[in-house]
Amino acid sequence: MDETACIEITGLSKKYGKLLALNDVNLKLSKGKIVGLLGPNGSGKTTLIKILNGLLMDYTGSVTINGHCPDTYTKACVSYLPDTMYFPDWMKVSDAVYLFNDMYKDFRPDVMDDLLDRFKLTSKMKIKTMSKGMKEKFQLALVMSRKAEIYILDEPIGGVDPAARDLIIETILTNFAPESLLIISTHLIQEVEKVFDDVIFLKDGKVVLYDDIETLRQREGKSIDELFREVFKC
Amino acid sequence: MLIKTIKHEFLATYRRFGILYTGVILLAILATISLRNRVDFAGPIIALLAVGIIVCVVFLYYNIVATYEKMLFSTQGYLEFTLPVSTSDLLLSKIIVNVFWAVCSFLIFFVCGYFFLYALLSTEIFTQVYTEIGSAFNIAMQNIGFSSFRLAIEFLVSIILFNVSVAFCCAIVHTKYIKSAKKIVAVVVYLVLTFLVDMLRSGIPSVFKMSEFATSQYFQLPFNILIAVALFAITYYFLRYELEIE
Amino acid sequence: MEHEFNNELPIYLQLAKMIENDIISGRMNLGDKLISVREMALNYTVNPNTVQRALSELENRGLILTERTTGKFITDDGTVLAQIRSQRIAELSESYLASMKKLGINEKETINWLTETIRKREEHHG
Repeated sequence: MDETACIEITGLSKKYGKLLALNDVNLKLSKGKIVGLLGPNGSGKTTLIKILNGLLMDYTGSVTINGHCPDTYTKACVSYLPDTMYFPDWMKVSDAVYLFNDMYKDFRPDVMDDLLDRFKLTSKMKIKTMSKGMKEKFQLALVMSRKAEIYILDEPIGGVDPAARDLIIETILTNFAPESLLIISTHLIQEVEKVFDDVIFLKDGKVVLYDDIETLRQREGKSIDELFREVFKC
Repeated sequence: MLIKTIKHEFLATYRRFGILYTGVILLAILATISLRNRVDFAGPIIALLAVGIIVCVVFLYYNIVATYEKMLFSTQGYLEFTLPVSTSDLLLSKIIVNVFWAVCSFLIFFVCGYFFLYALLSTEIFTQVYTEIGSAFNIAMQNIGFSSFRLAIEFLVSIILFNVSVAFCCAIVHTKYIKSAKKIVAVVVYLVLTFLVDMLRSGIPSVFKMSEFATSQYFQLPFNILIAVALFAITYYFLRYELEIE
Repeated sequence: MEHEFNNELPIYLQLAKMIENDIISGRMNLGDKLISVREMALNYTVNPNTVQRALSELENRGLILTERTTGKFITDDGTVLAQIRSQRIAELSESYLASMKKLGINEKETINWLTETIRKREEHHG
């Protein structure tokens, strides 16, 4: 198994005024794995994801992606699906595809076409008139069409109806490059847990658990969903 | 990458300006035709044209503010700051495209003015008057020490300065230094910034006892350029090292 | 396909068992070439590494062979298969007997019940 650590986080802390959003986080994530980043609201998940993507530049500690601090280079390595819709109102599907194709060297237009078909979306559709589910699928399609080294998906099945969730998980599994690292942050653990290699539990900004999922299952004799509820009950 | 970024910034904005300019030019042509033929509704059309031109000016400045507001206050920032584009390219592309639209707007006004004069006067008088106005204007300006070229540069610098000022205000509220009421603080910062810069702009020449003429000739432009560069650098620093997007 | 796994137990073990069942029952034949890890992962909607682990597990038991250049194959060694088959049948039988014993049913009665159940089934399907 390829054990080259492509994301190394050492002593990462982030304070918002008096609130410690991340508290001395240490993580080493390797390629070729699907990692579940789990934690309730306020656990520091979003903060961690923002830091990895260069949306939060002020923190203490060290964060390196392929040896670089988050910067223009790492943005080209990381394909990020945020929890929110981030396209301007004026864009059509074709405009967004054009942008991605132009800016990202690793974008695969053929994969994009295939995914648009699969999600029943057309080039001429205006993004602002799409339903929430369609928008989520569209952003996912763009993100998975890149042959990136790292994928960070924040709630990929959050706003989608149950019927489409399987389609989305399948899409993720089909299109992520096997040598890449895939980080999925979700609260719908039950539906996604069979896809994870490792899981990270984040509680109040601290890593309370980081383990191989099958080892956990064997040791605890319960599903990750149940374990999660146990660890995080108020 | 800068060229690409500029291209996409342009693609994002050309529709709105295109519609606006087309509308204004059509109104100008209409106004010209109706004036020429001494038609009854010439008056309202000219009024509409005047409104159209005002809308253009307002929209030009509104668009500049919107450019940076969208980048930092809305979820569009997630897109802009995760594209593999350097911070300087990101900022520069927006400034460059906004300057481009300012130049276009100026040209449109010029074209409208042309139509207007053409409408008011008959053809022969028009050509004569037009060239005479032109040369009179230039002589006057030369006497005061201006040239149209210099005016153009000053106009461009003022647009650039407005761009970086807005960018600066939007950027500073997205750092650890400002924690809440970000939009309000941004506006306050802008007012304070403008006030301080104005103070310096009038203060420094008086300290050195410069004449009005010398001030406008040798001081204003370099000062504005210096402030623009300084604000750009600080904004760059904030976005590159201290950014906090919501 | 996707909902066949119990999240409380390691999935790779469950998957290994499923594949083992397929081989034992003859749904997959001796010497058959296996589909790629990636395809299998998609079929079951699991992580490709999980599939890899399941296959390694089966390889350790001798049910699967990896040819370096051509891929993974089910063993064509009948004895290995027979051995595992009898092992599994023994396990199931033991487990059945233990369950019946818990209900207080002795071995003689167990055999009667079993024969009766099979007879009823044949009637039903016949």
